[in-house]
Amino acid sequence: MQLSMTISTTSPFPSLSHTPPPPPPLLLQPLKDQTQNPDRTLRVSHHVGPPQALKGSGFLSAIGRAIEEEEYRKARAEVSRKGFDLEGYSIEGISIGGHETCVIVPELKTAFDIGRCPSRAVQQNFVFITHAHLDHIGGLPMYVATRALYNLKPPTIFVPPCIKEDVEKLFDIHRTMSQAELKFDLVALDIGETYEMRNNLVVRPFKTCHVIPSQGYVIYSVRKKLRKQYMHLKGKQIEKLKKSGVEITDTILSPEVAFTGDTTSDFLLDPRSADALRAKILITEATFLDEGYSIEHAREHGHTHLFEDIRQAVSKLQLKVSAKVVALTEGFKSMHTS
Amino acid sequence: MMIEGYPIEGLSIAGHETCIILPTLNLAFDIGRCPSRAISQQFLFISHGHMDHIVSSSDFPVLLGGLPMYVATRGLYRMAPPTIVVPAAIKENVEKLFEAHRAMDHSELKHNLIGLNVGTSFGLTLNSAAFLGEEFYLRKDLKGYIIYSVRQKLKQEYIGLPGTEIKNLRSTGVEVTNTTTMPEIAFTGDTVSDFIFDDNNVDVLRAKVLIMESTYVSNLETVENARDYGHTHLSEVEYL
Repeated sequence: MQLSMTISTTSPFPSLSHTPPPPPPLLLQPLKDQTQNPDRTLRVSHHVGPPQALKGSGFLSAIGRAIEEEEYRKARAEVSRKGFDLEGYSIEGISIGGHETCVIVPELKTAFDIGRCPSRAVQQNFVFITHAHLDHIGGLPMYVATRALYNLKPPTIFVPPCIKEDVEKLFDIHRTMSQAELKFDLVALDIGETYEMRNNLVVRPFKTCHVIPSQGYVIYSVRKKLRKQYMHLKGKQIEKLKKSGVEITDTILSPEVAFTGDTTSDFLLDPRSADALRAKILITEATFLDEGYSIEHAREHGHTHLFEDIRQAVSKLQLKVSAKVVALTEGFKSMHTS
Repeated sequence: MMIEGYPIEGLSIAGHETCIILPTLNLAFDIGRCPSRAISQQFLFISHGHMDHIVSSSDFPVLLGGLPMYVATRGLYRMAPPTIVVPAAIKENVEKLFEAHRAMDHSELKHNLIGLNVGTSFGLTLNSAAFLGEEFYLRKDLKGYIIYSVRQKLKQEYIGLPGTEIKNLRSTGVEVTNTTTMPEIAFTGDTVSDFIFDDNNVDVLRAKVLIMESTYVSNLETVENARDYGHTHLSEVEYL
C-alpha cells in the first residue's frame, strides 16, 4: 500500500484587501480536442477600438499568431502534463487549500471532487464529491455543461446523501438560467453502501471527519477467484459445475484507490476505514504544514496537520509505515519545496 | 495589454470561460471560471445575450460558472463583499444560486447583487488609485454595458479666471463647471453583429474601448452559422 499525501496548504491570508493575493498556481490547461465541433474551440479575445481600426492586415496576422500560440500551448501542455505514476495508476489534479481540489485517476475515468473543473476533469465519467464545500463542488455545473457541449455521455456523480437535494436544486437553477438540459446521473451513496461502476469495479464510501458532513471513497477492483475445493478440477468439470448452478468462485474485492477529501486525522483510527488504509493508493489531505498553525487550529477547521516540512514528514512517516509514502508536490510552490 | 490608457487582462475561450478584467477600474466583465486576477476586482458585471440567442447550453457556466467561487474566495481573504451587476431578468435566479451554495457550503457568501434593466445606470465608486477623484457610472445597454466617466469641465466663460475667483464663485453657488460624460468602455458579450447598426447604440461605438466578441474566426464557419448561435463572425467585423 502506498500512502500518498495531497498537498493542500492554506494560502496566506493578507491583512488588507487592497493588495491582491498572490495568484495560486492554476491549472488552466487548454482542453484536449475531443470535440465534434473543432471550430468552436478557439475564441480569441481581442480588444479593439472603433471599427475603423480593424482595417489592414495587421489585425488578421495578430489573429493568426494567436491561433498558432494556442496550438503551441496545447502541444506544450501535452508534453508537460505530468501525472504521478503509482502502482500502475497515474494521479493528476490540483489541490489548493480554499481554492480548488480535484484529483483525477484517468485509468478509472474518475475524478475526486471537482473544485473549479480543470479541463482534464471533463473527460472523466465518474465524479465523487466528498463534501459540499465550494472549493470541492464548485465546478460541478461547469463539468456537466462542458460534457454536454462536447456531446459526451451524461456523467455519473456521487454525493453524500445529505446533500443530494441541494445539488439537485443547484442544477435546477442552472437549468432555468441556461435553458439547457444538463443531464447527469446523480447517485446518493451512503457510508458502507456499495455501487457497481463497471463489471469489475465497485465503490464504497467511508466516514471522514470534517466541519461539514463528508465522506471518503474507496474504489475496489472485483475479481472472481476459484474456490479452493475446486482448484484441482479440470476445465470441463468446472464448466459442468458452473452450469449446474454451483457457486464455484469467491468474489474478492481489493481496494485499489481511496480518497479522503478534507478531514482530520481521526479517520485513520476508525476501524471502518480499514479498507481505505489497505488500498493500493490512499490519497489524503495535509492542509496544515508549519508551526504557524497549531494542531488544534487544524482540527477545528476539519483538517490534518503534518506539523512539519512535507519532506521531513514524508521521511518520518516512511519509517513508521510499511507502505510507500509519496508527497504529491508537483507544481506546488511553497517555502517547503524548491 | 494596454489600450487607450486602460490595462486590460483576461481570457475568453468559446464554450469554456470568459472573463475580461480592467484592473485600474477594479472591475471584471463576466467571471468564467474565476481566474485568480478576477478576485481582487470589486465590481463584476455579467453580460447576457438575448433570451432568444442563448442556444448553447453552456452559456451560463461560461459567463458565471465561477460566480460563487468569486464571492467565496473574497470572503476567504476577508475582502469587502463585491458588487455584482446582472441583467434584471436573471437577478432572481442568481440569488437562488447563492442560496443553494450557502446551504451546501455553510458560508455567508456576502455580496451586493444589483439587477439592471436596459437603459438604467448605476454609479460606481471606485477605490482605484488610477482614477482617484473621478466618477464613473455604468449603464446597461441592450447587449452589454457601457462605462461612462463623469468629468467636471470648467465652463467656457470661466476659463482664464484665477483660482481664487473660481473658488469664490463656487461658494456663492454658481455652476462653474459642465458635467460631461464620456463613454469609456463598452462591453458587448456574446452577440450578433446587428448591434452596430442599431441607432440606440451610438454610445457603444463612441466608447474609447469597445470589447466585442468574434467567436467565429475561420472560413470554415459561415456568417449564417455564426448568427444562428448568436455570435459574430470575424469577417463581419472586417467588413465594417
